[in-house]
Amino acid sequence: MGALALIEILDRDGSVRHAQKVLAWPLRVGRSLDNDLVLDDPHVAGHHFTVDANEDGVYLAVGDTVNGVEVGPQRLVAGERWQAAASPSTIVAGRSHLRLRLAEHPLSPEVPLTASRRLAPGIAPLAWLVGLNVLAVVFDTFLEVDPEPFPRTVSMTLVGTLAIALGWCGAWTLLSKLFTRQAHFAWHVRVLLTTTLAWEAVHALSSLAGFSFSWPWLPGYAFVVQAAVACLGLYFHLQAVEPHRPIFTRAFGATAFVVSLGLLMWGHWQQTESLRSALFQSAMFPPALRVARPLDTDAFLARLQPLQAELEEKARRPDDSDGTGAEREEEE
Amino acid sequence: MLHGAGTLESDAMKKPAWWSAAFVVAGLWLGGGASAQAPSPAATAASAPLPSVSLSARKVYEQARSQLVQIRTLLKGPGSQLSVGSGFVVSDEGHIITNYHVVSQAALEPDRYKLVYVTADGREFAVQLLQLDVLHDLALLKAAPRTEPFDTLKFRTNMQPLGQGERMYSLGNPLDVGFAVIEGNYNGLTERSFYPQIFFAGSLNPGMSGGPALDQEGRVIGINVARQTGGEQVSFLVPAEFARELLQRGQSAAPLTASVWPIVTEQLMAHQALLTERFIEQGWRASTHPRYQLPVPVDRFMRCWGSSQNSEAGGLSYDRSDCAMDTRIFVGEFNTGSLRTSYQSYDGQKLGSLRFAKRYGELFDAESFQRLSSRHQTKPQCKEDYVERNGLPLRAVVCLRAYKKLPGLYDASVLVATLDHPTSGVQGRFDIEGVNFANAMKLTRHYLEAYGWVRSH
Repeated sequence: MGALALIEILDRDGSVRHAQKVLAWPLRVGRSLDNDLVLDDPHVAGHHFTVDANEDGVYLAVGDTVNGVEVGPQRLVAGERWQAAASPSTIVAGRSHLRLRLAEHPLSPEVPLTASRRLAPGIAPLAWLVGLNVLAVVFDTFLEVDPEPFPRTVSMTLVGTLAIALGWCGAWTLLSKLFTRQAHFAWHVRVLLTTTLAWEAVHALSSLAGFSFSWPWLPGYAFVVQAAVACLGLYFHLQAVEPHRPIFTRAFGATAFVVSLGLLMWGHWQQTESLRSALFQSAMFPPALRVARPLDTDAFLARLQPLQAELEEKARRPDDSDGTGAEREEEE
Repeated sequence: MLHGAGTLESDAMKKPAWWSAAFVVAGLWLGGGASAQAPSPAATAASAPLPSVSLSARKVYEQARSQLVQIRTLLKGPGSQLSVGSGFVVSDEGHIITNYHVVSQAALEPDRYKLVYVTADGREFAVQLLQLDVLHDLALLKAAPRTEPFDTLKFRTNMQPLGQGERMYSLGNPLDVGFAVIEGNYNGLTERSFYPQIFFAGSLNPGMSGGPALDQEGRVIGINVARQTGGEQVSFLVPAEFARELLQRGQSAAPLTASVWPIVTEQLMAHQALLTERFIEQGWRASTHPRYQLPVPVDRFMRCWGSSQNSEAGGLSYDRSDCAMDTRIFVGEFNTGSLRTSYQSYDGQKLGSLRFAKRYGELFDAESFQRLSSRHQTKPQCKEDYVERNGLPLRAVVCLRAYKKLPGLYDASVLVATLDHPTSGVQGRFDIEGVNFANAMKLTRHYLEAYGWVRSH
């Protein structure tokens, strides 16, 4: 005789920890040893529920329990009954998550592996990313240090950067392992390397365009794009930690973006009363890269004129934001 | 007020801070003997046989003793002492001359502070503020009427010039220890001061501010104002003629009961007009750089220093020039009314163009514009662009801040970086303090237009 149903005990991540075929009705579930399926869960009653069949089909009857049973979105109390649905249902008793699959339930089609393969990038793109990042670190170090200590500094910087990157990816790998039982190390490495490259590219390109075209606002607001890049990185890292909760990961990424942007803008405002990250554009490039035409002194000074009214207005506003005003009032 | 010179009035005269400050700053001249000294000036004067030179000091002190006063700023209400300075009586009606910085707190915030004067015999009377001269750091006070007549000190006229090295006597109440006379020498006027100041070779101490400096006949030559903190016996006096002018101007003025910010603003307006005019008039020095014409002021009322560094690691080498005015106007809670220029000439041939550009940008970025707290000034507002001076491309940034309590006055900073060469360049900075908007623009133009190629280029 074939199985009538399959009852499964699920893990937190949805994977099956234990599965038991049901060969005859009724199926009794509870903490007591005389049950067909024993749940060693302190929040489960001795005889928590029973699954049985009559002429209407399979049903679940809740036993003598204070915590009741959750079936899908429904909450059943002691003595209530629930008629089995046409597809497998999740049953929560105490802290135990179960799934009931009946023989008559249609079998869902096989899910191809691509969805999980997406989290395991190939060697070639990873190698490219590693190569580009190493180049970026070497170039940055080249720009930063004097010619003489360069070889020593670059090796130290590379080792330092590697250590930080490994630490970062290692922490995410631990989280992935904890929540999904899979390491996804290569995925985290790829996310980190892509994010840093994008971050550097935004910085370099905005500075260069700002210099070439005399657009100081561009590097001044590059932090918005950089914050978006960082939060996207966070979102992709999280995908390998909570793959089954896309709404949560998206909401987390978006919230992180809004909060970080808000904090950055507030910080800038405190410093300069402007949302820009710097009072003026300072990055320099070789003079040949300048495209913008220079002004003559008259035209430049004419641009300063509107500042008079702006500053007069600001000067009239009392401002005790540095706290000294408050102290003075206390003294009085 | 002198740049680099401490005021004589101790900055923090609240008692605990006062003593610690006195030991740090005053250690050199007080030595360990401060507490061993007899505090009473009268006792000092009367004790022991003295060498002949001090006989005249004794005579001068005895003549001036009754005209000498200590000016105290008291907290209204509790009456505790906030700061002390000195002063002297110059008219029969009880007019008293002292420094503006001695009375500035009471003058700016009359609701919180009041002024009193204390005579050499220790009696305390009320005193009112009549007039001030912020630019020369002087104030005219008037003692409340009293039954006994006022003895007065007379000014030495300009018709009787002093010779360098002539002996003179500075009087006051140093560190609130007691009235004292200090001998020193007249050394003419200080060089490069925007307003004339007498160089007095003698030890002025905090608390003596506003006291008179007398010649051997007891006539007022100057008013104690400042000392150079980095030097020994390098002190400064306001020439007596400015005190005499102030007395004439304010003799019959009504007492100032409201805050003096408007008067300070008005006087600073006059200062900035004169400063702008004199600065532009003096022009720039002849070429100081092999490739560029750079704005380096003639050091008529500014002092310039240079430095140079060669990188041994194949990095950036630079020459640096800094010019600043000695004179700054003490306003109360801050100084203003001064100009400063500087430039750094960078050579990065060993670096190559990319590395040089990176460093050049970082050095440009390191400039800051925040000088005073937001209680006194707005946050800086900047404009920037490329500017061309006779074919020389420059990156120019101008940042302005407005004073909150000095309406119509601004600080401006101009940053300039030359952008014509891939591995070398000059970055200059011009700081303008306390000018009106029109003069800020005028000085900015004057500075920007000083850049260019040297003619042979």
